[in-house]
Amino acid sequence: MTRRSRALLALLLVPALAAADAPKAPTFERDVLPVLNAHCLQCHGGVHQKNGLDLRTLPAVLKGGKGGPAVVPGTPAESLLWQKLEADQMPKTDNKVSDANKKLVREWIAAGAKGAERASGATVTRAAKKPAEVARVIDTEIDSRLRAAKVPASPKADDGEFLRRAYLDIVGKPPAAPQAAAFLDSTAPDKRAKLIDALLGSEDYGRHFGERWVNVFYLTTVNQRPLPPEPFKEWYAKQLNAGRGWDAITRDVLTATGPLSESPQGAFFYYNGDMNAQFAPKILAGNVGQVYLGVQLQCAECHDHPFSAWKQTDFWNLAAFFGQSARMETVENKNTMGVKERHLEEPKPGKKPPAPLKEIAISIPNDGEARNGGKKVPAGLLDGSKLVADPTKSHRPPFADWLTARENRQFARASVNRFWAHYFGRGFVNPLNDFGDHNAPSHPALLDELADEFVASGFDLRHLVRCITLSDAYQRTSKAVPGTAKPEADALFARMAPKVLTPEQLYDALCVALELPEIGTPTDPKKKPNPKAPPPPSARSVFVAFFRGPGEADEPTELKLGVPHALKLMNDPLFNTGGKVAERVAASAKSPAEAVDALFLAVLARRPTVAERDKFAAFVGKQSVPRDAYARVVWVLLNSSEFMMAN
Amino acid sequence: MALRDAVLRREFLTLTAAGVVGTSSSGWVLPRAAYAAEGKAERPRACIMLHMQGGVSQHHTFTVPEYKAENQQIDTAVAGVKVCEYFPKLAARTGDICLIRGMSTGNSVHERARVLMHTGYNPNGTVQYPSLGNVAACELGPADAELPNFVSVYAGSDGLGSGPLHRSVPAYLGPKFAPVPVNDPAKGIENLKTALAGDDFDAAAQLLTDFEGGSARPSPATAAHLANYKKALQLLRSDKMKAFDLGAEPLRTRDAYGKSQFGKSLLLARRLVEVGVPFVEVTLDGWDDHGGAAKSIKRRAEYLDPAIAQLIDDLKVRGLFDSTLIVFMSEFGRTPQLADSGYNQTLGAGHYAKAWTTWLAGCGVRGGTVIGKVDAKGGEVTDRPVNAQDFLATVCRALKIDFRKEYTSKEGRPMTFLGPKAEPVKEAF
Repeated sequence: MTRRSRALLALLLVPALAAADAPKAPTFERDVLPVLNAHCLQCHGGVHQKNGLDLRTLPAVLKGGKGGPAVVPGTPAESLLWQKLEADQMPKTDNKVSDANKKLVREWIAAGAKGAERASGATVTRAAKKPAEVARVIDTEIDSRLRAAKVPASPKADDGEFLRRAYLDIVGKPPAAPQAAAFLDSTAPDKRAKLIDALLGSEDYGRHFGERWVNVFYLTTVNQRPLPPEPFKEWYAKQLNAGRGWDAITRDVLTATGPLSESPQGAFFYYNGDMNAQFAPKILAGNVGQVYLGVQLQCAECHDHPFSAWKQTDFWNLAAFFGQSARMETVENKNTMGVKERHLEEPKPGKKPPAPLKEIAISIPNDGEARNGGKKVPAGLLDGSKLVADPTKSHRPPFADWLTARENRQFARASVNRFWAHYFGRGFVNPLNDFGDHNAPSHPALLDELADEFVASGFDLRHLVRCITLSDAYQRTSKAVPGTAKPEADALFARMAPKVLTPEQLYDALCVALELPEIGTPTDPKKKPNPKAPPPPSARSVFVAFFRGPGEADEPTELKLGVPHALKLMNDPLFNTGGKVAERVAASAKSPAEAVDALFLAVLARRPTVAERDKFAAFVGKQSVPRDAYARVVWVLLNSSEFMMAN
Repeated sequence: MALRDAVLRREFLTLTAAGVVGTSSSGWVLPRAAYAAEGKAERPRACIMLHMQGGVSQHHTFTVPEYKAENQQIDTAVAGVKVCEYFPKLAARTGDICLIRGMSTGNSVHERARVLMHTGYNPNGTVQYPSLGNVAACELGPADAELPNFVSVYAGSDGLGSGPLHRSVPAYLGPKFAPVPVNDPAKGIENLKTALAGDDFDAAAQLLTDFEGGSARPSPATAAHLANYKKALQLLRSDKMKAFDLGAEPLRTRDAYGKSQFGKSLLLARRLVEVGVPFVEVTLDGWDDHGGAAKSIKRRAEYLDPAIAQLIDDLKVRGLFDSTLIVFMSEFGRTPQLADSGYNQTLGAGHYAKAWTTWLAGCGVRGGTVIGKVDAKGGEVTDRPVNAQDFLATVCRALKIDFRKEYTSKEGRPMTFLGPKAEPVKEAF
């Protein structure tokens, strides 16, 4: 087995699942590697291998360095690793290994120095199951882990909480008052399943998800003046609403060619370009690795990865597929943005056509930053499987085919992990882009099961959403019960995590609550529009730009906003004069209590509790002008943490 | 707004009763005596960072080259130290200033170099680093401060813009150490007036507090939301908000700072430091002088020189100079004379990070010092190069911030503000 394929297999074959309550024999990946990572890999890892010793993988540990094998399975006393640790001869720094960790290493060697068992990498051949059946699998796995850890679970969310959550998660905005009332008043026993179906059938499903997905690239671009993301978002929305498989959509993104007017998904290459939006194979390789495979290859751009088994060549093998991709500048002398392949371009008139490419390869830039500058690296598939491709054609399709193939289960796993996090606020693997032996999934069996289901369904995203949202785990309240409000309970999904609304969701939620089509500073009617100037940004994009926190895309449970944002929400007249909703309620409500009910329904998509109704009605009763009183109630509700979160 | 007046009156009475306000000459600033009375031996340290966005030509400011200079050098208060003729008032105050002439920072791309000079790291796309201001807010600011611990004032753009305004990101320190922006020093913080009709904002705010209750859904985000609102309400009601009212300053002082937005920003910065804000960044954009720096810097110097000189004098008069650091910095300097003509080839036209100039003043920094030397063209550092990390370490030392203090990122990774190799420039003290 080549070193490359070993690196891949270590990653792609996730540990086979032990029952939660089975006695756990120590394994290299779960127990020992974290200790080595903290104390040893600085000198015996990917960057330095002092004495020829590499401690990143079990085979490398068994092989050892100049002094011979580091470990003799079963015999700690004869194992160099144990001898050095026990005597505190290693590490040479002050960062000594604790007694507890020493004991762990000793027990692991004594028990035979085992690695994690690997699941088979066979292709998924089974048919997709029914969503409700998969939901039961989800609950069986999650509940058994909760039981084993003796962590209680929060009860089922009430209808109001579930309603607003499902709307925000699936279509990106909360329900308007009439929809909320219809759901809350329905007595149908399967009304939650029906709601999920209805939301997945709405155009807003694709719109919301397309927006979230484009933001993964748009918000992390290093390009200083990125293209407006709207056309790319619309493209995603169309694909998703048409029900295309996630594999096919991804393939279309990675193989986009031609002008952006025809292939808006080519914007992917601009966002993954350098500061001036020139396409950058190394940025593409790093981000494709992070987003579609969930791995942090990018450290291997300049040198072998210090803490995992990625080689520098693995990184450039992947980058090589993008080596010929470049920006289109003009078509028939007209400025045109788009994606082209340099080696497939028609030669300019009078110029000799270049010699046809003989191989798909890339040279490591000789810029003094990366090691091995100038070295030519051929394209290679990360699992070491053989690449059959014609170098005189576009290089990206063979890669996209490999990436999105049913056989590449890491694509399904990384995707499922991201989609799960969209609903639960955290993935099975966190950060979402850091799969590997050093960072085991919290629920490995469930992750595999859902990944297989995703493959079996033909990468049907709606199917996956149904499976997830029908589960009890998804439908639990975010209210804490004793024992569920602590980090380890969150990692076991003991309750729903409150997720902060994205700026887009916040804007849409304000429009829904205030019953306004848009919220922005009206343009001055006296000002003549300049036909040559670019159209002014939409009210929504102005709002979003102000409320965008750094790095918000990947951290749905973190609030990135600060005092300036709170002040704006509190005091900007744009959202604080009660909107249409205060007028509507002023015109229709017959009593303060009725008004309070209507306002809660419009703003929070639920009815108040008895105590809330009394308190707010008393507040309203003290005010002289009803409309002003209602505007103040709206103000209170809009500025609450309940409004700011998807609970 | 009735609320503010009521609260102001209430707090004023409390302060008067405590005997604090009455002793202050201006009526609202805690004088040094009050600090001493509170048992604080030393006034807390503060920093006013003058961020000249776009890349300042050292050749037309504080390090005029011997070769093909475009303007005269003038003698300064310190024998043997000369600066550009455009800065006569600062020249008279070099006894308070420590010039660092060997800045050598390695990054000459605007946005990236700005991140480098604020955080000590080039942006790498994976790890986010906090800026000096965020760290200062975290380390120097009291947790329960009424005013923000980091205010970032935009002093406008005078010349060629150089991309988006730099905004510091608190990264692993958490959002409460984010800067509060002031886009116009004459207007102060935005959205401070309630839009609610009527005058009982207090009642609505109380209803909101009651509605939140103990929060049935504890989470870090909920806690952060509640903390933001608490802080925002505190700000609305704070007596110290008067610091934003530049009109309260005597006309004479206002004139001394000048009518420019930069001058007003410095006056605001001084008033904020007086009421205990530990870090104020003033950004003046427009220094990207590709068309030549001589003319535009001459223009800018007309308001920069008197305003900065006034800031130094003012801090001294108020006994704040010894505890307040003034930092004059940019993202990089500008090219030496590389050729007789050509784009970015002439003195001061192109970006240049290999040899440029910053300066520090106050807060225990040794005034009258010049650290580092450059060659005749001003293109090479011949003595004492200073990189971004060492520069920030020097600032930290003046502010008594431990730049090796360990924080923990959300992923559990130990982080320090500056790397293990960062060393303060000792000659500055």
